[in-house]
Amino acid sequence: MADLLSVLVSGVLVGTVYAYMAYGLGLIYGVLRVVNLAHGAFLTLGVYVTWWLHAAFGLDPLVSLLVTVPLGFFLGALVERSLVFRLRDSPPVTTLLLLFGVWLIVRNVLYLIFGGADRSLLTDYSLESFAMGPLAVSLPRVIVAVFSLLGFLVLALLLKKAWAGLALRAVAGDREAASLSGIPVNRVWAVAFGIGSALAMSAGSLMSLFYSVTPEFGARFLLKSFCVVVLGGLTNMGGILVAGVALGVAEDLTAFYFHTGYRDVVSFIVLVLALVLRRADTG
Amino acid sequence: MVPLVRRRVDRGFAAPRAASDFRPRRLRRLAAPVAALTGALTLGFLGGSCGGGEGALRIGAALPLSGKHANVGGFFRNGYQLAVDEVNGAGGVMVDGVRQQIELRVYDDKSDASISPSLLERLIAVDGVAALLSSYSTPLVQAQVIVPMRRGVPFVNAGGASQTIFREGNEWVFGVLSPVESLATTTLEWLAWEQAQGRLKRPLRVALVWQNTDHGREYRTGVTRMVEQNPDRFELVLDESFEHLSSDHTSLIVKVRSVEADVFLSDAHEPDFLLQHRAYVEQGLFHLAVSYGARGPERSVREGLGRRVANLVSAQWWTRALPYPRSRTFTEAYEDRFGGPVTEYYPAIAYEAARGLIAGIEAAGSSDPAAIRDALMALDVDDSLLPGGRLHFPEESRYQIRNQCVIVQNLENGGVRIVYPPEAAEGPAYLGV
Repeated sequence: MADLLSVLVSGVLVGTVYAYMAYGLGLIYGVLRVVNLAHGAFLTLGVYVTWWLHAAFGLDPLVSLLVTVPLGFFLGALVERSLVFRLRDSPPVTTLLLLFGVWLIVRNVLYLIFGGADRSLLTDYSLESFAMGPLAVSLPRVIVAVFSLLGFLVLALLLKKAWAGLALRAVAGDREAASLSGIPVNRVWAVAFGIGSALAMSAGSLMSLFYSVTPEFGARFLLKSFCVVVLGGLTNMGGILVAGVALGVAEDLTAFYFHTGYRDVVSFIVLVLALVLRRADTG
Repeated sequence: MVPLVRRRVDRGFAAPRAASDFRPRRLRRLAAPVAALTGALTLGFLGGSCGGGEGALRIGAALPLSGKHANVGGFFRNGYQLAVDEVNGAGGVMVDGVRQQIELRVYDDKSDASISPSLLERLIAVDGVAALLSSYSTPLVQAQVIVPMRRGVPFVNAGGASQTIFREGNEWVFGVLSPVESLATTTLEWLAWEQAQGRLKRPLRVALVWQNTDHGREYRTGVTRMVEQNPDRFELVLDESFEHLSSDHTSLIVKVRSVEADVFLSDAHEPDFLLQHRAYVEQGLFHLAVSYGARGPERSVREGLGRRVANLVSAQWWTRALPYPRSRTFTEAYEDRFGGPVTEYYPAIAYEAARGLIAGIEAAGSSDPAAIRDALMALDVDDSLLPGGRLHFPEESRYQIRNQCVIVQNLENGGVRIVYPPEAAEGPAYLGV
């Protein structure tokens, strides 16, 4: 029983990480209808910036969010203004390739600066866990889970209450109608891309608490983010949170009760099933 | 033919510009920097041709000097170069009756298995190398070995331990890394030795997890073979694979906890090792011995896990604490030239591979590839820095060395201590992690 509970708790905590990684991807797709293949690049950048701030100035990864969030927003908005915006009326595959190119550039720049070695950071609480009955719960993972829930709440409030959020939803709903009613669609796109990238970079900051990083880091998690976004409903932040947790629990239960080697197969099965079922729903 | 050519010219090529469009002064101004840049790029591409020069005997390597294995590639280049410079400093090698310097030519394969073989082709066809040294990592070396086989050029491999590299009928590839299996068998030999000393119980319950790669599968083979051969000493209570670069290892570690083993063995590359041992610490597990194959003493591991890696045991192909004269002279020379301390085995193995190859060339007394190959087949160096102190390539293992590894234990202060084999041990192992 203790083992089952351990696995369930671990699955929930891992799932919140998946959800946090995927919020930005879902937001950008919802507003711009663009599959952001550079998402992995922002995720990786987040880990590297956090690692560097820790190595150079001893900055705690949680404090480094004060740097990675605005930096992510700026870089995301810059990519949107300077690249994505220029291709806004092109076929989707063009933007897809463009953002894949951005990812490759970022990856190679990171190789040039940091090399290919695994980098990881250690804080006073990196390896701490606390007892909860018979369970040992990882403190860094709980911290990330709390941030994931906070991220969801802030995003939900932003989308529901703030003017910017209303504008984002309006553009996501009908770009032309939003434009006719005076919403600056171009600026909203840049803001959406900026927020999505800031979320990805902040997810990287938090993931640095337990993952080591190489320039290939983003590739490792991009597919998981896609799975979560597709499963959660593409633009539905609540759905993404639930989907992330569901995927984390499903993976951990599969690993524990069947075979650890099948863990990643779960993501592929979920992705295929979600796509097929959605197609059946709409078709 | 003529109409075809004419049509291409008409359609595809722009008409020449008027003479006034050209700006010869601007072009002249650009000429010097362009020439300098071209020269620099050419030299950069050709890489580190050091020593030798006209009349020198060339050997070559394509190494991962950029990309994901760039740090190890740098260690390899330094190790190769050190061995070459030592020989050149002593006057070179006698080849075809003439004393010649050795020239090492290195290209950057960018950690890319798709371009590494073509660089070897270039080394053979354009640079005329007499023999080759390997890249680093099993996938890159697996891609490379086709070239020496096809072209009939001796190839000494320091970068891949998988037995899949050494194919049936391939007489051109020689390996200075003992098989991955040796990491496992030496670890279990150490445990058996501790049992014989009365420091561990019999039988030991062993939990084994391994990454689902050639490396992991061969590690598993080593463990299961030892367990089958010694049923009174070992009992395998968990045998499970995991995917490389898994996003979480907690459920696997919970599974390890549930089988209540005495010893936990895992074969993992660095990112998985870091995540797996993190979960191990978080879940508060305890075993009499914990080993992650060859992982443990690396500086990067200390960065990520700090003192929580103390007492981990690892099997190594080399460690600076080995009490052999050759190992000591290498360590001093390397640290004197490139800085140190040398905490990883990579430069030592690379150095030994280059030294072995040069010893083969010297023994052949010829630059003829077949003669060098025959000399490498018969090579038996007794002052090697490798565990066991011997460098030779046995035919029965398809010319891959079969030395025992060395078992080291991480210390609290960041260092390591040899705990096995007994003749090299610096002290008893602390049992319990």
